[in-house]
Amino acid sequence: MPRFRTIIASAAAALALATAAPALAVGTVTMANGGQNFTASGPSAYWHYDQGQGYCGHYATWCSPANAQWTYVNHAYGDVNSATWRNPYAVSAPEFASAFIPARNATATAHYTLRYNYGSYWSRDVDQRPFYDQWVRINATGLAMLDTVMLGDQSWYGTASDKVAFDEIKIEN
Amino acid sequence: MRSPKILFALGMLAAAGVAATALAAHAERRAIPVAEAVRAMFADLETAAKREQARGCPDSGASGDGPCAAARAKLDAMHDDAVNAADAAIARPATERAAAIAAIRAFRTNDWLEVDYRSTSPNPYKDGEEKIEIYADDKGFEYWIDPARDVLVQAGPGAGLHPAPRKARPDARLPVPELRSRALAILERQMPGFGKRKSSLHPLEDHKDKLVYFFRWDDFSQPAKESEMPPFVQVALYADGELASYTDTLTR
Repeated sequence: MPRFRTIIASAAAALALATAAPALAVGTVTMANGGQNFTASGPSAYWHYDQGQGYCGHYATWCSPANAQWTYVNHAYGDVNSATWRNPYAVSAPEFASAFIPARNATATAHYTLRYNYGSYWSRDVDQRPFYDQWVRINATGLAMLDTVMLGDQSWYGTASDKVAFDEIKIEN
Repeated sequence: MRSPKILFALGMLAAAGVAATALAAHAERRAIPVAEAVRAMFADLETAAKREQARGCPDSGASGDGPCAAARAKLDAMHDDAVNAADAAIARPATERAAAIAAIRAFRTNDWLEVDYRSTSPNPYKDGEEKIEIYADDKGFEYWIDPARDVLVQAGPGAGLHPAPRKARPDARLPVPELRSRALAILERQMPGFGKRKSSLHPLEDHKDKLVYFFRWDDFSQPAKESEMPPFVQVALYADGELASYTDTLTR
């Protein structure tokens, strides 16, 4: 079976790394909440930040910002606060997204949506409460051209005091 | 399957010049075994997708059952075929995966647990080429197995498999020492000798809203790679003692 050993990168990736923005490793992209490939929406008053928490805050000194952010769940229809991580290096090959679940303020059953295959969508609920400073796989089977990960605060589960954590997303292939 | 990207990327990397040193800090070399047939399937998928986009077909989320729906269904079928073929190209034969299923059943102490293979994919805790096999049981739990050792790396509610979060009844709550004892029993079963080994690890106990209790031991004896976490083991138990999740990145 042919094997290839190479480095995937781009000038944009190199620039991103040089400015300590989301890291690119070969076959792996880690996108930080608050980083250049991350967009948050919704009332700013509802966003909360835990400095020194999450993957960038607790483990990875090379990425920033060094925090995790969260908001309370919304039990009504539709998202009030939400966020999007855009993968700038999506490839036409099976890709796997993992979410880092922080130790604190991650107690909701959160609804992740992945955009892949040039415009298809894959949605899954992830119970964040059983996990603590660790990676959780969002898609157990590969999705090609996985270019966007979306997470909102809407949930039909739990109570209004549950918190949805928005931290790093890692995409591997 | 990544060759067009690779060629493009290598060219761009050469042009990056100044930033190459910084890049090296986070780049990982990967060997990617890909059958030519699989590569062709993804190339065909890309070509078909670009053709539909040129035709003006929007995302499935926007189009619903509009005129592009048939094209989207075809693209999705091509996608699933390609992904399945790619997984088949890297997965161990089913006969070799029997040891992984046995490891999961031993962990759950249930010889009859229904366990299905899902995929083989990169291990998010490791840089490089280390893989995990993902399995799911009929209770909504997902299991990650290190196929090189048939060792359980992680277990917990799988995405989309266990949507209703579990809570212990108040009258079923166990005291923390009992939960700690149960966590250690699980670890001793998974990692014989853990009782002696844990003295060299950094212990941590915490909980989330007193609903899930975490018993964790981190290994800080060696500096972790920049993009990896220090190895750790963790048992998470619901307040009534039921398993919430398990992770072992210590066992090598």
